[in-house]
Amino acid sequence: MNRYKNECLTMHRNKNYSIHTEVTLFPFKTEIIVQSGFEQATIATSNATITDVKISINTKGLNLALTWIEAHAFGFTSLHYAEINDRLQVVRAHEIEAIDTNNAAILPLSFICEEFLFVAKVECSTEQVTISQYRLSDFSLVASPIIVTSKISDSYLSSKRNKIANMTIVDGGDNTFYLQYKVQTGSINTILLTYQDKAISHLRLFDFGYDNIGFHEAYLDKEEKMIFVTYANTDSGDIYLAAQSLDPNGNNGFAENNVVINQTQGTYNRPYIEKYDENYAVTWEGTNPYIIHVDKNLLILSPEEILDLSNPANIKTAYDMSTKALIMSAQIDNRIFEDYGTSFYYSKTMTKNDHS
Amino acid sequence: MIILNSVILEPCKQVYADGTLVLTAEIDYFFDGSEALDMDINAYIINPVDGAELLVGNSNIVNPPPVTKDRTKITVTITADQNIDLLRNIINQYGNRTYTLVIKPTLPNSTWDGSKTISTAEVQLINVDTSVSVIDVTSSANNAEVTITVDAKYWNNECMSLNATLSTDQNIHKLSMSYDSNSQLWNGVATIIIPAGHCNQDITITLTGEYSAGCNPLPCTPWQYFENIKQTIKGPCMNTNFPAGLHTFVDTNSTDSTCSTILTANSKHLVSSYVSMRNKDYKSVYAKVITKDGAMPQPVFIPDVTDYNQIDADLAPVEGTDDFVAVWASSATSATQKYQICMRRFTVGAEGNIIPKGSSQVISQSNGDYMAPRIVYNKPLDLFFVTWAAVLDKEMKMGFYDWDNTTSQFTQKGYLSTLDAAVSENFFSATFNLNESVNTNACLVNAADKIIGAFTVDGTTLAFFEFGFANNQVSQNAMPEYQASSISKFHMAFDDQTTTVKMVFTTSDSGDIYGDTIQYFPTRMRSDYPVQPRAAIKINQSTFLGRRPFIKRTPHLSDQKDRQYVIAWECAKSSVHTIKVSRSFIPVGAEGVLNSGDTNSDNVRIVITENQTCYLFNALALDGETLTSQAILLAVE
Repeated sequence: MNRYKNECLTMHRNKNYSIHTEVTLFPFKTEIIVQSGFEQATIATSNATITDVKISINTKGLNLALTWIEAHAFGFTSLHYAEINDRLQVVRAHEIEAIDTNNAAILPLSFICEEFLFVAKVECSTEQVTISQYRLSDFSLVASPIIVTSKISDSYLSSKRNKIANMTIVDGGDNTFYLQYKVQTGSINTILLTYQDKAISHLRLFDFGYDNIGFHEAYLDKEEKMIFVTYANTDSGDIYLAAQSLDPNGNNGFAENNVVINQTQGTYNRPYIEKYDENYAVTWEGTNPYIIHVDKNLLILSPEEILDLSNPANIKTAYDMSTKALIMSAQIDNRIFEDYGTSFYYSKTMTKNDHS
Repeated sequence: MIILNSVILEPCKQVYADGTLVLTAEIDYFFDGSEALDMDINAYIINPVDGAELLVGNSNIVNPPPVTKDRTKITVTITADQNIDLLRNIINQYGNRTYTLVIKPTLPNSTWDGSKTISTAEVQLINVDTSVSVIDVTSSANNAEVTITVDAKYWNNECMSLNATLSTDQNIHKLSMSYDSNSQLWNGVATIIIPAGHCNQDITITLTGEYSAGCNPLPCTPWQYFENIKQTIKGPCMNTNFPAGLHTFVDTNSTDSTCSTILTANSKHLVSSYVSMRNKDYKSVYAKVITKDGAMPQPVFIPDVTDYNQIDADLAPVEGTDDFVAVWASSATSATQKYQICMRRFTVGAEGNIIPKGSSQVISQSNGDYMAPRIVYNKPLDLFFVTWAAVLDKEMKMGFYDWDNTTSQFTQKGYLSTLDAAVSENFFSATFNLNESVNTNACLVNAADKIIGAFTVDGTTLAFFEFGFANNQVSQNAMPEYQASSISKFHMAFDDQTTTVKMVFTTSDSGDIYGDTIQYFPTRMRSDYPVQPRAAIKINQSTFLGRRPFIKRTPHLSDQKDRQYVIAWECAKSSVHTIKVSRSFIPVGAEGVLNSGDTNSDNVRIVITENQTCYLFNALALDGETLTSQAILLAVE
């Protein structure tokens, strides 16, 4: 039986794109499958294990760019890149670099500025985050990678890291990006990345310093000039939502900017946040998918909803503005020890707040 | 026949002197016969009052025919002889500006019949020079205000502005100018409120005159003005009546320990925070007042949530009010009883009653313990600056806070920031108490619109920073570190006259007391500071070794030109010792001893009014009588 892992879901030029990996055991292979509505295509096939598929959108280009890791036997891994067009055809594919066993890197996140591809990743050997700059034309490395000094949390090195650690980059507009990861003390550092004069600079802006931060996700609302971080508390199993204004003239609140948003008690994990109309939909994993709607002041707008899907994992959502519907993807009947589902869900959600 | 080509007035050659306008015109004409030039020229000024032409000169120009028939240029002067008084009034009132002059000639046998304009000139009149003279600078003993009065001649009120600024703050006071038609001069007045002004204070007022960029620039000579006025203001003397001598400030049946002692800005009430046992298991922080008249009401709790422990309360007076703001570490607010940093504003009523202006607010985050808060209120920024230690992150955190009077709450301005430097590991312990610590300190002092912060780094190094508020965020600028072979507890004060930091320290838990001056150059980078020779001066006169020195600047009293400093410390084999020094750390009197005989007297704090010096310290005995437990004593000199 094949196994599914949800990777990402995004809106691009009014279409939503769902990307998941599918593992076939006999003979072993992993495929990256992209779906948009009823269309579906296989982007890559490998006899290695494909993980960490991430989308980066070249705002000036039409294509979707993907990066991923292929983990071969004996710990040898490689970083890959592909571009697909809106007919889900692969127009370009390239192995960016091989990562040798001694320098294992995880969670590569990429973004594109002009003719450059930037890849931030967690370097397991140095326990630091680096940002490499490649020329998109030939994937040659431009200068030495930038090293972000604050050391990573041990949770990135855990075998459970998929469930307790994450790294995010959100686009702040005007060639700025906000990189967030957990440092050794468990606080989330926010690093402002600014692209200027064909290079990137980094500056630590602020922390989300709260107890027991596990897996975290970010959403940057450019209109409200706010960054939202939702995370699972590894101790209580609650889902938290925290916010920080990015408005240089705005005022920032204090402790009330970090609130528990689940309404029922449970052991929850891996929240995801997406803007939904004027507000925000936060989803997370329990025995079922949970959804709650909150506003920018972190006030809960509706009762918690539970969708009829069992043991979801890696829930992602995307808001389709044209139909005002929240799209959701997840792997279902997740095998808790290996983080793969026996089926894959990708649909408009049945949230009561859907306007259609 | 004469053909008139032009009559030109050069913009910078027209003179107004002693009430008379003398115009110089160049006349260019052509003649083809033997006729003499005989024409009338009417000169008009465009009246700035109504824009109408005002006739100012009427002149008959006669020039005999030159030898050759040709084009001829002559220069003539026209003395304005019409509407003399009216013109004088206009120029006195409208001053130094660009005037428009119009020339209309009358030439026989031509179309120039006196009704047509041959030239229009935009001129700046020579000798119409704006002059400003300071007539009076007055102050009263009743308030901290100074009024500056100026006279201005040839003032152009539409385009000129005169601003007064005080050297100690950034506020700009625009002089309001009015025209006195009797003296035909402009009078300007501005009243400046001196922040925390007090009697016999030396101030410097800078007057700056500018010509508005919104007006067309003056064509000939630009105008600007600058003058420094040094003045000693009368100002109110804030005499206090704290009970003279040695008294009990707080004595409960458990241990009471001083934290922070301040004077409220307006009335000079003494407020001190201290730690005491709330019950047999837990501590809390309290505030107690002695009013300027000597009343001593009962203490109040600083927090509104008093579960578990509250420690280490630091206070900041709010300039211009009798308010103060407290920050402290509390284990009551987090779910896991970790310490968080809280902040709350209070005011002191006339009878010394402490009135909270809002609830306690948690300003730290919640990953582990947060300790050792310090606060200052910066008047030019009108913001509170708070620093504290994040135990788990092993970093100093800091932020600016604004008080919202309508919601009675603080709001954080910009991001919560992190100090870009390592400080002593001692800060990063959940049992750390900054007010009690014998070898570690964090101090904040105001320096105009910046804040100087100093932190213990290790046993030989202190780190100094200049903090500011730029782009709505905390800006930090490292100053040179201070290093000596051995530095234990230090404390500091800011010398506003020399913009230097006066720092005292001990070499060890039991050592000599030293004082030194730390250079400060606003906004200068560490690398651009000149090398400063260390010149620490030993302060203590007696051989008793001491620790935990505390330094306080005196207010500006009438009998002294420079700031003086009172320094106090505790001695292991004696009690609290005190001394007054000049700003060069030269003792200006003998070393004093407070509560003689109690070797347990320690952790002294100082406040100084214009007539009294108060010391608060912990003690186990009062005048030789043993107390049941540690109390806080007050010594007033």
